[in-house]
Amino acid sequence: MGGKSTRPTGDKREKCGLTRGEFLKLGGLAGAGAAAPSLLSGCGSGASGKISKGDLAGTTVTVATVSNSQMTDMESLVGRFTKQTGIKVRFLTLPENNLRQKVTQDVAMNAGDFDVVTIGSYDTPIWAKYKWIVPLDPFFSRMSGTERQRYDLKDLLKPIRSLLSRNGRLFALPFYGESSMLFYRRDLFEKAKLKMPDHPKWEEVMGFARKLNGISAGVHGIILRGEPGWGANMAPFDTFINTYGGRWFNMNWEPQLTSPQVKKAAQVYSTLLQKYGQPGATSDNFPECETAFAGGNGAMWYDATSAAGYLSDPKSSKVADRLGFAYGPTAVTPHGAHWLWSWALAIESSSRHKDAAFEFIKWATSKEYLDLVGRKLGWERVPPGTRYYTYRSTPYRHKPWAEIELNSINTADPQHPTKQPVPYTGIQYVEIPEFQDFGDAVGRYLAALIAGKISVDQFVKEAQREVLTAVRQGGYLKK
Amino acid sequence: MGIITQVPFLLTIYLSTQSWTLIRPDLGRNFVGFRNYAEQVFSGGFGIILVQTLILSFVALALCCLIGLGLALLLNRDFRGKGLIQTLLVTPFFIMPTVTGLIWKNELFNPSFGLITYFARLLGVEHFDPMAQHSLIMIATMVAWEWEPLFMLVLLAGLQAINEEEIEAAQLDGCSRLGIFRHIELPHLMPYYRVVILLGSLFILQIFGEIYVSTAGGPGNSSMNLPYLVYQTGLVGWQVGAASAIGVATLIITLVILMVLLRTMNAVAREE
Repeated sequence: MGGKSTRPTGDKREKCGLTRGEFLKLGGLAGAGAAAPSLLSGCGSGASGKISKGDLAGTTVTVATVSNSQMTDMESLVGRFTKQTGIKVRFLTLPENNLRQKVTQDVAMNAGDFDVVTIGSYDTPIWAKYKWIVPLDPFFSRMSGTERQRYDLKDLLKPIRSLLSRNGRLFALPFYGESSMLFYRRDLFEKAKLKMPDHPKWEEVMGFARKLNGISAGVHGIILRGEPGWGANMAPFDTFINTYGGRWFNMNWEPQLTSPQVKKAAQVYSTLLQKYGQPGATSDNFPECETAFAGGNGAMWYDATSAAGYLSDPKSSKVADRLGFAYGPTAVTPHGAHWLWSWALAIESSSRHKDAAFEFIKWATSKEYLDLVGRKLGWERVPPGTRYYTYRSTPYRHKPWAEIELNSINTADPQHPTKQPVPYTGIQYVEIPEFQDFGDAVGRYLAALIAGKISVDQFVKEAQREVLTAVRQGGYLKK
Repeated sequence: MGIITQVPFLLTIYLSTQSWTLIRPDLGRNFVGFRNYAEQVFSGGFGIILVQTLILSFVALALCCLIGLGLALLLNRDFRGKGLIQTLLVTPFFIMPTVTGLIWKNELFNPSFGLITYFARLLGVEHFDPMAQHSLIMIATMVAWEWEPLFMLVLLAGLQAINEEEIEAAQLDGCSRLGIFRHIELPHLMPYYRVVILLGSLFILQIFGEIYVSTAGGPGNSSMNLPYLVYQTGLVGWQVGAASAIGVATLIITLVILMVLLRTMNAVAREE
């Protein structure tokens, strides 16, 4: 590990890193005034020498993390890790999009501001390919037998583990994992004499939404994300594309967004929101939807399984005692009808404290950590979706949604996300670097469709145009 | 000093001739001449966003000029609590752009729990969601709300510099209040307007934070301006070359607009 230059293969004239001026210019360009990195534009990263455990005490590990509740819990418990190891931990917490920008700048320019980065399952294989993060198998092979047994790598959920691997090598350890499911209000369903099946169809859901919309004051039939963004409104919408039989590309990387299947998906998604959804959906991402549903403003909500804990906690949710849970609805095909996502912890190639960084990510993803959160903060706050242990041996397994969550994660297959064959992997994203950009663009048009500013036909035409430009520029498609 | 200030700009020009995508190190960095300009600036999307930038700036400036003048006229007299009122009126100027965006998007105009939407419902207006339906105009209004205090203060200074005797003489000659405004106050305010419009356009052409937090340029691309396009291309798409090309074009366009403004206003001044 280490020692090798981070120079990617391919173009020989590729310069490694950026000069300070170039970096500042890039930040200045956006008017975003990015902070200058600690100037470490040298190529490659020194090999991290073998360090015995005791030598790590006093090291400080810098962690870039995303601002959601599970991560905040981790920050509050990190004192325990420092007590055990003597390693100090410093956090930089940012919203998802800003985090990705900051960290991408840091790794792409090899600045080495962070030791540990919180990355999504979308970023992991791409960053692994460019050697921005280091493979973890060397660390595991250096462990003692008892240590290895304690961590129990085989206990990590298989789909999540493969999500964070590239060519069979693990590059990040999962902090939590999620799929998508349908939350609903049992009390409202009883009131309307409706019954939610375990595996609903979107047509049925549309029918329920019609009947339940306005059943009590301020209750909308269904809540869905509408805010533009590849990780915002596009995440649920991508599962609509999949389950209606659509796909982003055919095997020649020709965009397929004008297909009848994608049109149907767009029509259903926008109809649900326009007729029976929450008003102003175009500014609602996951947190806003969560707040609305927990506040009693929706009869149904289709979103991340990881919301279950928050919704079931009477402290944060008015509807904790009347929740119902169902699998993510399907339409034509079960392929890609529910997503798969993980926030994970990885070590930057340019880190100068790799061993200490590994100690930290090992701790934060261990069985002991899960027990610690369960005991200290309550079992519904345990980061879900990472280990079989959670669902077999802890009180979490008795939660009413635990089974749906585990089965959804286990049946999500990013390798075969669609009914027809595709050249990409990923369920609610396309596993290529350009996806962030064109996913955002399509997300903006989806918001325009939801707001009624453009028609379904205009939406698919604009989306097709954006995606076509992107894959042409990226060299996927022959011009 | 001159060299130091120009280095980043020259670097941007150099980068704009490169094809360089940060998240595709495998593609490397290549010289492509003016291809970035051809693809990014002389293609469909750029023109629309340029027009939107102009509409946004023009509407915001017009609102600033009108509201600023109105408030300056109101404050140009003595009444009790004048100091407090003046302070309150200036407050929006000191609120951070991102905070303004969030306040407008959530507290005021959120369709479910916004203050203004609540009153709209009381008045019987259904489906009132201006942040989605009229995003560009809403951003312009937001910017006007932030910047009108500057206009108010400068124009107030202008009004207070008018010689009292001039006005008294006009009143003795039987000139109406409106007449005084048209023939004395307004001509006198012209140079002040010139300064504040120039300053204002410099800043308003470049707004970014308000858009970023409230509409993210959407729905569609309807509330995007050129600085936001640079951000989207450079820091979301990671296309350094393309973003630099858009940046250079934006700078040139901004300079042209300011030159035209300056000339027009000088011409108006000469006619006076």
